[in-house]
Amino acid sequence: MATSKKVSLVTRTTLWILAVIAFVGLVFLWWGNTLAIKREVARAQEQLRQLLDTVERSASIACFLQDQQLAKEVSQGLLSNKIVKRVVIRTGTTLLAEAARLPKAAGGVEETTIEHPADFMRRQLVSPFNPDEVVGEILLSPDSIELKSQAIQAAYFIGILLMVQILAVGITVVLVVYRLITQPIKLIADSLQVLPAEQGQTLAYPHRRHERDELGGLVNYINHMIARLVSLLNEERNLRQQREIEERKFRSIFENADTGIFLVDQQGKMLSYNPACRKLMRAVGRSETDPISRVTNFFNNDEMQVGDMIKACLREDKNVQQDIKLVGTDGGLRWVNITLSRIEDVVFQGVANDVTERKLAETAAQKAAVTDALTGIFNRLGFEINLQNRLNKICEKPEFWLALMLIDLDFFKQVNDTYGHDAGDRVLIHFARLLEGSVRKSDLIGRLGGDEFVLFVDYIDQPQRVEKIAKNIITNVAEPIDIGEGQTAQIGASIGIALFRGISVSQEQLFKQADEAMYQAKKKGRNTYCVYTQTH
Amino acid sequence: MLSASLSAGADDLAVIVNSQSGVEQLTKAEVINLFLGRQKKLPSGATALTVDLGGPNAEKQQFYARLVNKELAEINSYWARLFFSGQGSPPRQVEAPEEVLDIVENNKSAIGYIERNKVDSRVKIVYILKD
Repeated sequence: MATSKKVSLVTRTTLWILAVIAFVGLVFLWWGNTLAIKREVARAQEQLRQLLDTVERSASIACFLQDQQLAKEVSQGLLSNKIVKRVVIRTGTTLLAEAARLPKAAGGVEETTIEHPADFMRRQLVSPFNPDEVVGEILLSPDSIELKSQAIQAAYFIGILLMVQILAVGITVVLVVYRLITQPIKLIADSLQVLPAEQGQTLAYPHRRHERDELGGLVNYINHMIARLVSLLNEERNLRQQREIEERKFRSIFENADTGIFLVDQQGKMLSYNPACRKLMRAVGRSETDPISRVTNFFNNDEMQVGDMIKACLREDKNVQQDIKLVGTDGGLRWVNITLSRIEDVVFQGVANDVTERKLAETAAQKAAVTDALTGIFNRLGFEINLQNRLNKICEKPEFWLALMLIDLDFFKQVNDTYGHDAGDRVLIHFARLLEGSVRKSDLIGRLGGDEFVLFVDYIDQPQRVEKIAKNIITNVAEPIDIGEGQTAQIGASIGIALFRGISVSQEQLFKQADEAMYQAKKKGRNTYCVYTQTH
Repeated sequence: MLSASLSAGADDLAVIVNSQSGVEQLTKAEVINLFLGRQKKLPSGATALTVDLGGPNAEKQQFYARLVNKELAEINSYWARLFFSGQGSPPRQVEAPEEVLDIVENNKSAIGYIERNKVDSRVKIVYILKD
């Protein structure tokens, strides 16, 4: 508030008033002076007229008698007045008397001035005994310097009076303005400067007499404003407190959530993340003190994967989800589901959940769907899916063979009937292991149902190998099978084989030919195999 | 009023001069100039000797009242003014009409005035101041 340019209102008001007073004073002085001079001139003329009135009679007698002596007396008498400079009395063309005050500078009287009627006061003189007869004239020349000095004296006096009056008015106005306006305003300003308005304290009137005037109004208005400001401040404070509470709530949710929440920019830089993110990282064996600086930490540092996901989120402008497999330092597998949503132009919110349990359950369920629960090998669905995959991938290579073998257990029904289902199950499990032992790990084994199994082999260089597998199976299955409680069971196997060489073939075709071959094998008697041939 | 009109001729003032003066007739202005000192000589050329008739009949008062419409006091102050300037002198003052007649009869350049009915053959009337 205290600036170097501050100018006191009192000073300025005073200066203004003084300036106006000076101006008005000068105008009045000039006017008064002019007026006084005019009046003085008029007064002097009146005086001259009166002088002429006084001497008129004597002068007219002098003219009547052409009496130079008398005329001289008259003119001398007139000259004794200061304002008279020159007197001429003449009758017709005869000069009776002429008198002049000697000018201060030497020079004498100039005759020519008589010819200037404007400078002279002229009066015709009539005969004292006959008003109709003009006997002469008297010319009077005023002393203009004397006149002027008299006028100036009068004007000076008037001017002094005016100045005194104007000064008195001016001083009064200054005092009144200072007392009634500027001083109270200064008081208000001073108390306003130190007023603790934020505490709701109000401003006092500078004086009781201002309660009802404009300054009182100003104070009232300021107080009204203070009250409003204070109430606004309180409102604001309450709002801030409420917001802080809300923020704490959200912060607490953010901090305590089991779900990892983070913000990431377009370049994959982590802007912030909650403790759950850290927990997730810990779960996959990252060091707890490692700062999660980039979202690629969730993607096994695979920049491409992250970039793709962010791009997809930008492009489709909607949430993008992905399950990510994380490999921990201990080799353990974890699954994390990441959902990215765009919240600002280049800021994305990510939600990370550990979905390992769900993922494992899913995998288990998937596995159960394609696995024969009893033997652990593929069931019909699993086998068909895998077979189709293999067939899709096979390229036509004429030097390799592939084969599908359908295997039916002989005498299984008898084992079931004789020893019960548990024994049957043992037999089935035993056979499944036997099949696994008979083929390469890459070959497909499945149980189609009951005592019906299936086997798919490919990349066989000679067809004899297929037959050898079949022979092996038949040989091995003939061995007595331990079915518990010291008992053994004996079964056999009939095998139908569909054999192809390096061409693409459909599943239906394979099964159809294998079926046909199986039928032939059964016809030939049990414990044998048969390869499908076109010429049957 | 009646007596005034009847005696009108009797109240007239006659300005008289010596019968030998050579002056036959004067105008009113000439009379004024002579008696108030402006004109010092008669038309004949002689220096005029003016005579004022004072006395109980107040002819002088009548004369100046009729001639220049002035009071005697004014005339006196007029002459007083001139006395100080040393220029001219007032007419000779006499008390009786007979004196006037005497002076005029015995002085060729004298000029005076009396009531008209007192004028006799010794003098000459040159101007009549009617009532």
